[in-house]
Amino acid sequence: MQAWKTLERPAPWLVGLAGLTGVAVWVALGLVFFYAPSERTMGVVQKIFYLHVPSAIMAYAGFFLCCGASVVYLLRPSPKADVIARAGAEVGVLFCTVVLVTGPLWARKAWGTWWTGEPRLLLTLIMALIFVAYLLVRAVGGRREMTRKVCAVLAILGVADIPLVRLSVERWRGAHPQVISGEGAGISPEMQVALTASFVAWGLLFALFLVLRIRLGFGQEAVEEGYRLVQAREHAWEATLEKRA
Amino acid sequence: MRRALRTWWALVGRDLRIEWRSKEILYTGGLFAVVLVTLFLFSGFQDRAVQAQAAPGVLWVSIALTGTLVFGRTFERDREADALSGLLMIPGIAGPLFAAKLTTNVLLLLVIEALLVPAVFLTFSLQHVGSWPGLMAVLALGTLGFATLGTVLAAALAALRMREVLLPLVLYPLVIPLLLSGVRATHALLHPHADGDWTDWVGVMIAFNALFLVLARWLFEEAVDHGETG
Amino acid sequence: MSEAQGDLLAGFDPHPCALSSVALREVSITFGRRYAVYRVSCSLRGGEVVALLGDNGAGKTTLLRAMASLIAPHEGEIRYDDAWDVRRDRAALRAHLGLIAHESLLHPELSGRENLALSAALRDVPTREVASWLELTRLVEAADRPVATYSRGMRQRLSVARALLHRPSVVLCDEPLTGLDRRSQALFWEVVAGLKARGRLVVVVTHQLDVPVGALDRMLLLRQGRLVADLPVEGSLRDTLDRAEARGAGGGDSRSGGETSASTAEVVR
Repeated sequence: MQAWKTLERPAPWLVGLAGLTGVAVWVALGLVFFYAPSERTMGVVQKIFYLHVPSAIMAYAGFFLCCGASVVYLLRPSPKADVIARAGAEVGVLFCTVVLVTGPLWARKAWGTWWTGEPRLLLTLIMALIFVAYLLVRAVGGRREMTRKVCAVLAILGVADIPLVRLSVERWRGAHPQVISGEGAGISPEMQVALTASFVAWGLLFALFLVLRIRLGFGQEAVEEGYRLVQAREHAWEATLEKRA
Repeated sequence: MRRALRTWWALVGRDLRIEWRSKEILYTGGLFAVVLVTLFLFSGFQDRAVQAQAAPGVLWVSIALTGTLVFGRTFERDREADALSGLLMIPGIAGPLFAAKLTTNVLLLLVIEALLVPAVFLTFSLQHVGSWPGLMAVLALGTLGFATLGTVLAAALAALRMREVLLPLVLYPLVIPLLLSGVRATHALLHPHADGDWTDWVGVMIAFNALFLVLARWLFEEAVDHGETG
Repeated sequence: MSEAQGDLLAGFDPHPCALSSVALREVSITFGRRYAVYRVSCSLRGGEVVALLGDNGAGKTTLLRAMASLIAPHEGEIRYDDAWDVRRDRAALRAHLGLIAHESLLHPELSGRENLALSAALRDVPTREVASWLELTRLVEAADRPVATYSRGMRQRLSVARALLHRPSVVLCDEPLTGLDRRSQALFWEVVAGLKARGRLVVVVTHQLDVPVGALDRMLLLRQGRLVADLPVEGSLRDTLDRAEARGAGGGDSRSGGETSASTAEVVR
């Protein structure tokens, strides 16, 4: 049965992905610390930027994936779509946490305040809250089909909220140039390189986590299927017993 | 279409009739709102200027907290005796049911706000309002948007354990744009000479309502017909 | 009472039966890691009164709710008239299905009359029929009291009225007799006979084996989600069940026979 394969040894491409990710992360770290120059005013702390920005992108990628898979699940319910949605949410929340931790750390060192209250950070905070609630509903609801539907609804509402959050928060705080992302503030070519490498590295890490989580999810579904298979075999056995009687 | 309208009307009539008999939600919701405002009274806003700043926030947070009380309970009623399954057996019930629940939720919340808004005004000694119709419009839009999401989420969570706790956790982050707009608009209405035009914020609220009315209506069908009675 | 019943179900006559058969093919329903219903196949026709029997947890309610289109089967299919699939055509089907569930499906705060009037309004049934139904189910005096004050038997009678208000072609009943006294049970079976005479299909999940002879046509026995017997009912239901179990469906288990008699001991006097 197809599903059992997820519990077997990882496929070559997965091992390859893991290897590649490992390499990419070391390369990126090397570039960040030894190649890219230290920023004049902020010093080494500015290097958090190479972690912060790609993580934010990956977090949103996770959430969008969750929403997409949720839409698919509502249109045609299948455990696979649900597993992918959940994986997207979990990895998204993971990277969101990174963003919300590195953001204030950097802000504190660079500008003296823990919270800058800028639109992007607020949006990320809200998305984190929404998807942590998603995970909470999963935890409370268990493995029922109803829980899956509820979470699908939640994911779609959450992602639909994004433009409205941006709209309202930007109107509130003013759409200032994104201080934390440091775009257009004059990045040297070396920094560009380091930044690109970081994107690649964290992107691969995101993909790796996602794949692993999806594999795990498929494996869990396979276990459930296994229970059902055992029960089905019992039924079949009883049926043959009866026919003989 | 006419049939849907009649169905909606019958369902709203049912909900309101049930509520009128016991007035449970109105009493507990109203009292809760008053208790909240009292708590805020003691939260230490001494300075007149600070009070005026804090009032819009207090108002909208109170609406949010009272709202979840209302939304959860309108669905609880249907879960007794599994009345919901009976309703689901009626073809084409999802649209009118959503509209009816939404209407009931909005009406109940508005009635409670009729108590809450004066309470806040009194507590915070608020004087002038830039435009009363404006304030009404802002409150109406905020209540509608809040109830839209509250209705669909309460329906979705209806058969889950710990639903009373989950509903606020799930609902509040989603309505932040609405809450923010409401607070800012109310603030602008209370300080007509200070910052911004309250009509800007109304635009945001309208956008919120437009998007989520459609989305919530579509998702309600899925949320409510999950085949389990919990 | 028979006249009233005849008169009232006469309201069914101008309305032809919209659904005349239902076919279940290898229907399986899973809840997580457990099969609640496993590969049930059978074919039922209008004009039949079918009893669905089995121990608690055998999957009867789940199967009935699937036939009512409230639960979608995970494998297999349920089709009405070989055309309406219970997953795809829910809206069209529900107009012709009637469900009497374990819970009353009524609003406790509203009166009996209000409950029926609401159902009538929601289903486009003229409100004058509400009065006839109240008479038939002998609830006229209690009609204006909240349903919460009704006894179990009264609530059951009102749910029968609610379920039949829109003249469904297929009536699905989940343990409708629990808590009913002898007279109410007799009334129920009379209504069923009237439905049968008008070509309606009636499926009754029950633990009660004290069924009037001739009321049932067929018996389906579920065990742990599987259909183990599908027999015509000859003589009394009890005899037919014993025969089914003797044939090996019971697995030679005297315990299930014992359990069955225990549940009949619950018959309300």
